[in-house]
Amino acid sequence: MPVPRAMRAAQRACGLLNRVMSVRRTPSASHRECATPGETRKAVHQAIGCVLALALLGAAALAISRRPAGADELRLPIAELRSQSAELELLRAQSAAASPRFAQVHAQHLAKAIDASRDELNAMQVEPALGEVRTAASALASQLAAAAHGAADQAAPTAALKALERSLQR
Amino acid sequence: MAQFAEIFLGILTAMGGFVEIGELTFTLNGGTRFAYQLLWVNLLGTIGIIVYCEMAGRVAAVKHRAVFSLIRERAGFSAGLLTLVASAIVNLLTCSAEIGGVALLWQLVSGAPYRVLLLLALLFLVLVVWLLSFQSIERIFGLGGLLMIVFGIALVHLGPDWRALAAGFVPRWPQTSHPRDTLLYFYFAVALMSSIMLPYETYFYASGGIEDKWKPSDVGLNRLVVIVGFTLGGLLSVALVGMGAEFFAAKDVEPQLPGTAALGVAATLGQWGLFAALLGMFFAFGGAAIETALASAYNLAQFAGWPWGKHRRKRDAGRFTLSWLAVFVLATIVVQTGVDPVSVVEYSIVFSVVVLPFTYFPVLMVAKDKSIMGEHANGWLSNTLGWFYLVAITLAALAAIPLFLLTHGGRG
Repeated sequence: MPVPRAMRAAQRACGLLNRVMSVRRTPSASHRECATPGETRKAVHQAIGCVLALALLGAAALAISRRPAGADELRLPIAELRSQSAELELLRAQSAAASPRFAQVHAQHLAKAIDASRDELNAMQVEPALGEVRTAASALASQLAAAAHGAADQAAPTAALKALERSLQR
Repeated sequence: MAQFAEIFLGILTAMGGFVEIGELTFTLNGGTRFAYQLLWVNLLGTIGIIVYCEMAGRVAAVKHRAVFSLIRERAGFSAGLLTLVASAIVNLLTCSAEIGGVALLWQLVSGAPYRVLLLLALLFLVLVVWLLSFQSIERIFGLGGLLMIVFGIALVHLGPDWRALAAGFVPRWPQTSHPRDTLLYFYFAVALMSSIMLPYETYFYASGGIEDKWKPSDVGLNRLVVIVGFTLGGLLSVALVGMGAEFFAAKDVEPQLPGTAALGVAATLGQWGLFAALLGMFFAFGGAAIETALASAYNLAQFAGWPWGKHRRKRDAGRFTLSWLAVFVLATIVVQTGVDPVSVVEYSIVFSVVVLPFTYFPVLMVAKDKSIMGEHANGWLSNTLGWFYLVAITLAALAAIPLFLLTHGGRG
């Protein structure tokens, strides 16, 4: 009599569960049990499976990354820049509370992070309808980068970045 | 007095889970984005790590068996090897991030070049593990990490909304303005749970119990150590959520750098707060780097059946010693490439969720087995909590990667 497909699946699941649950006690003092050829073969199969799965994931990620970015994706670097801009303002306001060396080095760290967010924004291919927003964001990112790289008279454009971010949230 | 000093094993282990560089920025961010809404995850995770470290420590005290020898025995060679490789990757990535974090902190104080400081951090950590006994390491880094309490002091100084804070411990559906934020909330919940229950904490803690020569009579001490150590870690994590909710959210800042965390304390408490925060972070990141490097070496040695332990002479545990040295060197190479330490550890946190069920299942199986543990086997409470958390972390493991992809890597 043919075994129904669901039953075969259940049998396979039980087999797998049994294998996971099975108690294989090796003497505690010596954990020097060598892998049997069968175990080694299984491990190699697992490794091949993992590599194939990773390759598939990588291919999928590559395909997704080549699509033009929508509002959701464009919002991410803008939100980061908004946060970095607010932090730059905070650092400037609190430089007296922190040590001069700390303030100087932290500003450098922040400038590096701002450069990375700006590069990400500039490298983005966006949907045509979002072109203007991207251009405006790039200009603000350059202004922020100049402020972070030591142009003390340059204001951090936090409010403008926040407005852009909000416009993409609708 | 000697028994009191054992508390530092719990504190050091907890520091490596609750306030290492990734967890620090991640928890602050959780507070900034969701205020106190995620506090129940902190509570859930803290109880979970207490439950499983208590079991692992009890097995170590009673049977002198560490976690990876149980994994090899219970899960078999293939599943054991898979867990070993996955946990080695998680440990290496985390160790890289911590070394990067130590170098960043030193740079904030000295202004010296980052890459030079990375090499100095490597040298420092190797010398510490090479020269100091396990007990000295756990006491120095456990005690030093307690300086992170300055975040709690800063929070109290800010005058938090205590009612909202208390309400955060009750699980509820997130109050968000957009479905995307709801997904992000669940991503934060899963990743926060994972980062609190990081597998290397259990590996390190159980192996540390064996290093400290625990006996069956130390079962009560083990319970005290995990409860005190991890509760302290949990409180620090609540303080970080509070700083995010009360300070950074008001300023529209989502902290991404360790310096940002310190800036929050400086703005609240002044220069002494800044230096206490930097010093506390140094001990926490350094302790986490040591914890992950040693955990990797423990895992490999226990899986392969090599002699292991800091208590042995180095030539008697040569492959174990080479293993932790190799982890430090490889981790430094990873950060020397210029990758951002915080991003590295955030990826490793998500990846580690997948390892959690494989780590905790064998611990539960042995700890509840009366034929192995005798009178020290799990009682009904440990069994119930053990199964509950096993189901919870398995669900988290299944949800972690899809949530990670749907939220653009947790960015929103």
